[in-house]
Amino acid sequence: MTIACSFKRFVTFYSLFVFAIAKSVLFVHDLADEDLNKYTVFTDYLSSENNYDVTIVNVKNNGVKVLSDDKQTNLFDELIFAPFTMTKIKGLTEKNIMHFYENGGNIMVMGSPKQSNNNPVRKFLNNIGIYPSPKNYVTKDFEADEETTLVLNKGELFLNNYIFNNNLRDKTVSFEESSSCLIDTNEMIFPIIRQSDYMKNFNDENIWALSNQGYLAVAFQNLNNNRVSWIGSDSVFNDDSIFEQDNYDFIKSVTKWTFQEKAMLKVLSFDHYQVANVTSDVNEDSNSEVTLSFDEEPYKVKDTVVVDLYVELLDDVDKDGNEVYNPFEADDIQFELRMIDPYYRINLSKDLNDNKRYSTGKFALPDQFGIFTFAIKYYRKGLSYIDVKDIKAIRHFAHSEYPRSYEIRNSWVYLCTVGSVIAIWIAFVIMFITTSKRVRTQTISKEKKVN
Amino acid sequence: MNISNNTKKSILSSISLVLKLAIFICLIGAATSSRLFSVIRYESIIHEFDPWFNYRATRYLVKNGFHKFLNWFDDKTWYPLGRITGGTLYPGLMTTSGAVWYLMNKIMKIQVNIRDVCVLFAPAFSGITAIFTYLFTKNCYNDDQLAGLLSAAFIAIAPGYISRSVAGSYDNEAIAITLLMSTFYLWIKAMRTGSISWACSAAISYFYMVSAWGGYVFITNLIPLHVFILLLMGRYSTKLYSAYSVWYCIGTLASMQIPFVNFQPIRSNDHMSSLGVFGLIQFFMFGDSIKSTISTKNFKIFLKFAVIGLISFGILGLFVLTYFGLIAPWTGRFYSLWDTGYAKDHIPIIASVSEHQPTAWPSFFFDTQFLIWLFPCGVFMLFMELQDEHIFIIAYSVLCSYFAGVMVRLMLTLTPIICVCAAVTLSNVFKYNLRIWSTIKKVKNKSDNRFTELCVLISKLITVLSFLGYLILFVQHCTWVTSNAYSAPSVVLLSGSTDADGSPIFIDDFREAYSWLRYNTDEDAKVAAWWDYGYQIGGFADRTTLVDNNTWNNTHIAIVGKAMSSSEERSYEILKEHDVDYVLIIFGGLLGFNGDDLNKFLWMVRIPEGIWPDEVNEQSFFTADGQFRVDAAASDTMKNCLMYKMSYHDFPGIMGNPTQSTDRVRGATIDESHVLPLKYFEEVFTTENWLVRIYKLKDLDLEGRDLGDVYDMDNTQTKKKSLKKPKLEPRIN
Repeated sequence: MTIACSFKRFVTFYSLFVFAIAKSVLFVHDLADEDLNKYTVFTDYLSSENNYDVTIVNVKNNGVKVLSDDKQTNLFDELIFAPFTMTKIKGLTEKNIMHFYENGGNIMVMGSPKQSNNNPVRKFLNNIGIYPSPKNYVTKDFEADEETTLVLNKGELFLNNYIFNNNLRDKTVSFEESSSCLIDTNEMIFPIIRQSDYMKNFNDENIWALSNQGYLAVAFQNLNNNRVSWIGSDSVFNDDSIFEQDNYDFIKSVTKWTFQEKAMLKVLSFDHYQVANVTSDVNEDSNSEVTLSFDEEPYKVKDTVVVDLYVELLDDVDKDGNEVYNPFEADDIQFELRMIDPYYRINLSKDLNDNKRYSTGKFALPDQFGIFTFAIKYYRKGLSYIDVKDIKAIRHFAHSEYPRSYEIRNSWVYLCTVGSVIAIWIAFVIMFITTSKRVRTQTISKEKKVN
Repeated sequence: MNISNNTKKSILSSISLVLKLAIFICLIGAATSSRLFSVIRYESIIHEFDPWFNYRATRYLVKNGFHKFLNWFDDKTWYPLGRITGGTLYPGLMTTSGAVWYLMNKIMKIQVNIRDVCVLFAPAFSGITAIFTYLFTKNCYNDDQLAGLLSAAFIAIAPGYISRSVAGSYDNEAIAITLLMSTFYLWIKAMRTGSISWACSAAISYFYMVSAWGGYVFITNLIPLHVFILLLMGRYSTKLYSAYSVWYCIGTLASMQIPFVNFQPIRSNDHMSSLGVFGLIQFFMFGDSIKSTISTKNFKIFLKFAVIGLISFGILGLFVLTYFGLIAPWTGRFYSLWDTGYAKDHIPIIASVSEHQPTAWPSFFFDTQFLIWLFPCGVFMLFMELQDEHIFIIAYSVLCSYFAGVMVRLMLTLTPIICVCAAVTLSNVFKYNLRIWSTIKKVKNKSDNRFTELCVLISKLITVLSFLGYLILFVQHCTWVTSNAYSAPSVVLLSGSTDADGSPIFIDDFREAYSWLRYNTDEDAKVAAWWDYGYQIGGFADRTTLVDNNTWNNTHIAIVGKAMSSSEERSYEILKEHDVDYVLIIFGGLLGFNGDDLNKFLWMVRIPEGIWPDEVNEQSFFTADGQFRVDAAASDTMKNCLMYKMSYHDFPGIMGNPTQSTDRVRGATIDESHVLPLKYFEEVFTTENWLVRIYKLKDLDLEGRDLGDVYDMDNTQTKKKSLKKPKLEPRIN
């Protein structure tokens, strides 16, 4: 274990200089050796096809260590849990798994009806709202001939095309000896496959999940975009059935998704700027527009601004670790301008010339000063979250920015009144002085007062 | 020896001039130096709360220039509403000190820090106040120089005025009292001479006053009252007419140039009396000219109809205009001037300010000592003569005596008139009794009634000596009060005990906390605290606040109050909605500091209760028998509210006993079991004496769970959970 660790550190350190860092994946299990041999196709897929640095650890003897001593850093990038039959595992507690997850690791969990009831992985899943069925609860399909083999070929059972693309509804996945799970209302849980209406997860009299209440595969993504996936049956990973139907495709998709190699939205930039009209000195009729950032010219009420979001979608990471980006297509990205309550919500539209740019187009700021939040929050099931915001003050008009009184037509009548009153007053004074009788005044000399 | 009478006189007058100059220099010296106690005892620092805002505004002015200052949109206060600070302040103080700074640094090339200008601003202006008080008294009271000098001496050291003008209390009042006296002096001058130029000067001085302090409304009402009384007494004259008309027109137009005042002079009821008197005096003028052309009999008839018509027209007009909202109703502070219980019932925010409480009677003696009983004598003497300008002093003293009794802070406006009246009394006492030399001469001359003369001499001596004694006591009292009561900056506290080497120990928790905020939090962090500390957080820590001492938005203050008085979960919600990062509270329980947040807590309940009576209920914070308790008997709402939890977080156990501590302010025993754990907030900083405690809002849970649940999950012993089917709400995919 320690050798693996130090080796991993060495590789990490070394690869910093030489190649792109290979992802380190820890496969944790408590299987007997002959059972482990069933996973060769899957582990080969991880290590050869994806070029991951895979470490396989059996927890039966020495347990496992996934965190550094201060729990601040993860020793591996990703975790894969085979179904545990043990309950207590040295070095692996519910809290440690949570730490690993919150530190930025991704976790893939295989379910199985053989799985023990109180193992830490199950507790971790319960903690985030996923409740896999207990030991010995098996999901059966009452439509099928062989009840424990679930052949999932109906399009409506596949609930997330970002995780497993079944847009054409032609894929079939088969699970054997599967468990199911219940999930709570947390919006961060993304169901992948649900039970069909004729499936039931139960053990004798006790029912865990009936028809479409239960899910055969679910995923979870936290606010840092770290991912967990749970697949109800370990059979799909086994060499025996991995090549059946579209199982291999399914496993690949889920693995890629879980390890953040697809369906990741990358925000290249989020900015907003003012579009100001500038009247050129030469020709007063020709207006030209200039864009000014907030730093150049702080916004004031009623200014015309544009909000831009540059985004692209990570579709795949190839064997050499090169990321493959594609344009992201959506018409439901929404910009929100808010000061406690939202003032505007504007749908972003895609720029026809630049396929990475989404823009609100020009819009006028509200006639309300204050400190506003420019925010885009785009949470979609299966995609990584976009949550960008910028808090900026929108100031009021300065006293010199209002139109002058003589520019307002309505005020002319008042201006005329003011002018005429003044004129008449002056005229009156002049006339009063010139027409009144002269009063002869005598100056009386006064003695100067002395203190 | 051929010194003619004239030369003798001129020598005497130049000696008296030199003496007067010397007296003034001494006065200014006394006024300034006694205000420096705070700098000597503590340090050169801006005091209290409001001065911190003024100081911050002045720094902005000096840095950005007047134009930007005038249009300053402040995004660091009242988050997220912001405040158009430039348009909602009285800029007189800042512009004056900015001008002083500019003059010294840019023109005279003396390098002065703007902070020092601000700290020493009030002492510097107190000297000018003394000069204007001298001029005012002299002009009001028969050109009596002795009274003038005495009043100047009194105002220079009277504690009532010093309380607001020690070095460091950089508040509007520091300059406003100077302007008050100058405006009154110029008004008296204008009224006596009828000169347009004096009236213009009065108007300009009034404009300056308007730009400096909201208390200008006092002048706006006092001068019309003076004129109104004179008119009622039948003392209308063309002098009065020209003085008032010029003052009113120019003063009002000028005052409307201040953005904060705006159209108030013609729209608010507070200003209506001056407009009414302006109208009235026009009618008097008209009547006066009618009187000179028609017969007395006809004039009487004319008068009768005119008066009835005018009164009914005026009252009707007032009602109609108020009804249609053209003139604003009186403000809350105005109502609370007449009914001291009004504020408590209707506008708790006004009542919550300690400055707005009624004055306790000992504070009259405390602030003015023996002047307070000379004050009525002076008023009486003025009554005896009752010239036009005496009526002004009488009106001023009657009006202000009432106001000072209603609101503590108006003690400040009463002090000058107390000084003036006392000076009038004393000047009369001395004028007669100081002629000792002539009495001695009379006694020396062997006249018939030598015994009587001797008695007179002795009585004069006794009077003079006893008053001298009073004066000495007065000076001592003033010095004592200034150095002990009015020099504390309230930002730094004296602990009362001393070090091993005898030097005093200071309690500097406020600055400790503010500097922690300044150096350890993000520059755009938002700090929620009760409004009292808003200005200081802005000034010391330079962080964004939700509410501050400006108190212009009651609802916003109520939001903070609601957050403090709600349960933790609800508070977290409210504060997150307003992007708050930190919550700052004042806790005096360890130190025995009375003015802490728990003692103000009922206001944090009452103010939101006025807006959301369904959500906040004052009664639920009391025990069953109606007491406000914080110990075991405290009500559940009290124990669950955020303020309680934050105040006593980790408090039990710090005084030796591992499970209990005593709150030294409220004398309550706080047991560990009363203090519920904080689940949504975490303590980030507590100062040395626990006076200021700062909490941070925990980040949202990454997995979208409720923070309370997360806390419970982390802190309860994990039992072996039997695997039961969870009770889940139906989910829509």
